[in-house]
Amino acid sequence: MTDDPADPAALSVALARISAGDHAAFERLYRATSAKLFAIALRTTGNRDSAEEVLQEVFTAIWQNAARYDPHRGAPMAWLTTMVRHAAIDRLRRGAVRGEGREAPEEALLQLPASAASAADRGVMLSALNRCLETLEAPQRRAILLAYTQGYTHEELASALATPLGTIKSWVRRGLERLKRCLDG
Amino acid sequence: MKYEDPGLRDLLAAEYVLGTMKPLTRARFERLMRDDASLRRLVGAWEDYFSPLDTALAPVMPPARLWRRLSRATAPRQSLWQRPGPWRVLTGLTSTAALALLAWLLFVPGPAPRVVAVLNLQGGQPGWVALEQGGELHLAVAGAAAPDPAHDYELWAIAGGPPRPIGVLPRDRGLIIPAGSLSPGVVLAVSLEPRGGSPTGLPTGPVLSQARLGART
Repeated sequence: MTDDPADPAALSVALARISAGDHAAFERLYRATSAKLFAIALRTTGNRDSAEEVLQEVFTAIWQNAARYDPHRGAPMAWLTTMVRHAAIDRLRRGAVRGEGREAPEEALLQLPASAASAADRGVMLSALNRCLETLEAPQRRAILLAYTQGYTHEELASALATPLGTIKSWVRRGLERLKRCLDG
Repeated sequence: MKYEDPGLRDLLAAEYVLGTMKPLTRARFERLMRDDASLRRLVGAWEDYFSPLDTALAPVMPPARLWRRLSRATAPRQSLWQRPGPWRVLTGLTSTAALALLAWLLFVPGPAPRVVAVLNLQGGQPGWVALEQGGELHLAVAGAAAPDPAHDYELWAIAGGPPRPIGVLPRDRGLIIPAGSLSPGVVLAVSLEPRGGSPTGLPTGPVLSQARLGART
């Protein structure tokens, strides 16, 4: 497990070394994470050029701000994923065109137990998330999945789901609260 | 806003991870997170909740040119000044930028300047370079284009709290920052502001670039 460059401990070490200016550690981090992060950027922007620019921006920021990673916060990959998703969302907000022919957000759930490594853990987590998403009403679930996987803003959700902005905001809020109760329960 | 309310803190953490926060709200939330470990843990928990949606995603290799570009833009700069031919650092810059730096270097007497921060632009190329010489800090223009007539660039220092204004960048040359006004570890940021600088004393326009001072010199 420790030989896996994408192992959380290996990534934490790489981030610590990067903050000290270690360029080889930066390359290790890139090799270990870029394909997964590119897939995430691609899912959000729907466009390879945009996804490439997102990764360029995020990895440049990592090189400059690796010290900002807090190991107590959670897994390094989660931190990197949030950076990539936020950068992709910002690009869309600045007017980048969304890719065409996107899959329905519910597809993200169907792809779930794909990987072999610690499939059991993922299966458990997956089923928990899936089970809890199932407790939401369909439009609430759809709004949350569209926001998470494709970076929809409240405004875009309102227009995509033909629902007033205020209703969307409370759907998302109530949906998240309900999700939390279910996942903690 | 009452950031002590546990329900609200958790909801903000959730919206932060979900990505539905507006950019300014998100920036404010990130500043709060910096000094609040329990808020960072709430965010971490939400990242974990949603992570199965990402782990399930099949990896896609980015084009090889991406690493080549990143590697060029981030290659260690510390040794460049010590190498034979200190002008090596200029090879990474655009030709105009190199000329601007060269001009500045040639006309400044005294010990060789030391690069203490490189502020990259969005595309990864340097926009400004902070050089230290004899205790004085100079922010030299590298690849940044001149702002349009309605705007100015403004330099900020961030050390935990809100950004502190350092000065509006002169339109035709770099900025000289007096010795001792910035300490290593502080983050320098350049934002785009209305002509004459931010009217509020805080950045109002987009942050174009930032870098930690002295992180790798």
